[in-house]
Amino acid sequence: MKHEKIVNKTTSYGLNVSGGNIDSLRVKDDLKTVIRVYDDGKIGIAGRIGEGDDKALFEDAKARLSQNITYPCDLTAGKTRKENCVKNIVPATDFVKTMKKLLARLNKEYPDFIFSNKINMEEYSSVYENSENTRYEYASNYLAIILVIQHKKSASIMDLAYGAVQNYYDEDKVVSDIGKLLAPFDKKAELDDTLPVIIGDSIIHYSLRHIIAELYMSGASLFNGKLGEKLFDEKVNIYLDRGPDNKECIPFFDSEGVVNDGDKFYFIKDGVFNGLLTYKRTAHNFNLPLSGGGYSDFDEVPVAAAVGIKLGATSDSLKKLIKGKAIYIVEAGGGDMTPDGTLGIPVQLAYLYDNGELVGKLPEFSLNANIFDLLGKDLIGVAKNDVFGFMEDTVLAAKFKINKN
Amino acid sequence: MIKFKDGFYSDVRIETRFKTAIRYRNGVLEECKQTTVKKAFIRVFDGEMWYYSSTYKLDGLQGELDKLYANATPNPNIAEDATVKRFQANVAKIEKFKDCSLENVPLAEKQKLLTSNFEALNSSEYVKMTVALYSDRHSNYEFYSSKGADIKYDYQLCGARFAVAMANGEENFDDSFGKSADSFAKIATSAKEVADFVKESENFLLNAKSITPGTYPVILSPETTGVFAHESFGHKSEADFMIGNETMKKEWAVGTKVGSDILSIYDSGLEDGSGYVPFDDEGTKASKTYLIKNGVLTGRLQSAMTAAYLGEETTGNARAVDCDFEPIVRMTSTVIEAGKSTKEELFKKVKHGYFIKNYKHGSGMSTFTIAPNLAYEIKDGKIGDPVKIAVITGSVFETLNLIDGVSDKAEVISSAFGGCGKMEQHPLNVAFGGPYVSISKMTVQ
Repeated sequence: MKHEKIVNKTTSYGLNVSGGNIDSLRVKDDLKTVIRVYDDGKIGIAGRIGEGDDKALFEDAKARLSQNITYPCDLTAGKTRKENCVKNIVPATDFVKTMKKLLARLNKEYPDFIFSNKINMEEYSSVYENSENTRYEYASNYLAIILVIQHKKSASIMDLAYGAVQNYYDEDKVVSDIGKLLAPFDKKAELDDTLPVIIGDSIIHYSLRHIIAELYMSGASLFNGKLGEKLFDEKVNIYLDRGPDNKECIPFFDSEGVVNDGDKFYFIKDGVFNGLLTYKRTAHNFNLPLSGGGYSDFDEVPVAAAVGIKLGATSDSLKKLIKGKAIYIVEAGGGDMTPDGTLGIPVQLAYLYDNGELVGKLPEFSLNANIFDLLGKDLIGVAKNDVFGFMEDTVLAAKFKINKN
Repeated sequence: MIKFKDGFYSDVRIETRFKTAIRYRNGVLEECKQTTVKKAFIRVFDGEMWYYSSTYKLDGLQGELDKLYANATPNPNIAEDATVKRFQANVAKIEKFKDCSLENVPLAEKQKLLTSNFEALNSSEYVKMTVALYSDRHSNYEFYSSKGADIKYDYQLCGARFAVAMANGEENFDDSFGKSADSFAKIATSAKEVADFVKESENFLLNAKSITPGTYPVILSPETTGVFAHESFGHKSEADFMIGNETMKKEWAVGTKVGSDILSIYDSGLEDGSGYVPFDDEGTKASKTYLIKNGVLTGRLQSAMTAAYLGEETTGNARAVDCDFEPIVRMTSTVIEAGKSTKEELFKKVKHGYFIKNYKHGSGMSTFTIAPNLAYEIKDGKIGDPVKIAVITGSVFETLNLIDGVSDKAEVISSAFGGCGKMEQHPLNVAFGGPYVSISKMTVQ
């Protein structure tokens, strides 16, 4: 009987930051195993937390074939690959001491602000193997510094956040980044609604559900009937990136052992709608290419998940892309998109950007755009954000309709 | 038997969680799982730092606890610590769901609840995709502490949800309808209810108009009132956001007028449903806490640590999503209390505004947001055409004072799908609700 097994192991150290101080250390070990068996067009799945008997788990998975969940059996044969991306970030034994030093420095250098939330360090490994002699191994680790920041004169539960996920640690760079983020907070600037807007690339996530194969093939997607056609400006590339150099511990294989050529799959290539987010069920049902978008927890049938999807940069530098002034969005939570692709985005915090510097705080406002225009005629470009040194992100620059509050 | 060591405060929380998940897409079974997971979360406090361990090694709990003791520093005065003093030492056993456990409902019955509504779910020619979901959970909790707490209680929640994706040419729309409750009998769903939901979705698809962004009067349904209470003020009431912030302590001092006179909001772990929490995850007994009473700030949500910091008392709101995480200050059931107006009276006074019937998500900072799904224009006091609204927003400080009508019946709404997210912990089962609420001015986009 054809079968596959995935073992995921995580060791994490989590620090809670409260009122500018570290008040707790959490240590967590997790070990999850899933065995999937395939027979007569059906799938049987059994999962386990912790150590145990794989033979018993296999028998359990076989017994679950009786649930009659249809699923294609399309296991990759004879492939092996191993990627060990584990780096020396901070020794676990020094983690508390190192981060206490960081917090002490932040409290000293930025005394008008209060820092809270989490600093986590995690090591993750995943091993996929199947009955067709395929074995993939991946291991990586990361440090996530996610700080919520309040101004001491603010009565808001948060004013802004600093979030950096990296595979190394550099205290000076973190302190410098946070300094750049906080420096304009007390300096008022005028809102000029004709300026271009710089916003994080996560804005594309409003549209990602419309590239999921199930929705698209049903005919209810915003992009219905446009597969293969030019959808956006030719500068736009949206792709799934499972390259081993990613910082988020995303393995080069998905939860079904699918590996993409060059570890990438393009949904939008040079503005053209190139492919759909699929996993084995939908690729089989709709005769579509596999995109490597399969995801499942240790006891679940795989589904499609928009993990590791990126907006390709058209410039390696925001400073090069935007010369002069622009509106830089710092916090814009809670927006959404209507069925016709109109985005409504409340902006809680924005700064005036001037030639690579954040220079002043703008009053609150909201943004409107249509997704086709935003990634079409109104798009200026997509750039690596070089305002910051430790925090790596990609930003989009475009014209928006700005609604002053 | 766990041996706690002197010189520390320590506790152990163990959860045995049974879960069912069933999913049909377009009538085809895609998922059907029942799983039981048992994990523990251990805490040790020495008066300076907390040391936590999340573990699946239930037979090695003492070893894990001893490892934490080794990292901490013994404190002979730990009993006098203000946080430790606030920990309750409750001894209780509450088996509320022993005779109606969701573990005992046959899988076939759970599937039938979904399959019996497939015809109704496909009752419109515009339906392009259907998804039917069933989810349940039955948890048995144990909690032991060095102060002598010995608590056992159970919790359960189940829900059925029916979703459609519709299209008509280039127009598309999707929505879902369902019920969640603490027993299987309470989520029975008739074909008529599902067909009515599909009919309303079809009307939206065919007739929804765009709006001109601006500020308008808005009326919220009980469901949307719930998310408004949760996002606009519930999160503000979580006392951990006040740590180190003297400005917040002053501006949000108990006794401050923060809303209109007709506004009262409470949070309670005693309500049946998804926010039922008889003891929180540090062993504190549930209570009903008024956050706002007649427009005046009257309380906030606490863990033992935040209560000690603010010199206040615990409220039973220290909660963790599961045994992967430590408890932090969270809501339970957050509700705006009913007022005196009828629903009709609220609508009558609106010349031109919008009615928000349900929502996709919400968020809350200084500005809160609600992304509506089904929304309608209100014209001359009457509900008119469906409208496409991306998001409604308002400043928390201003909007609580702009509430000018509260209807006379409140509903508390449970949800077995999704939940509240805070920091790294999501989704936490909470409930929320209230009556119909009218707000004289909100930003509508």
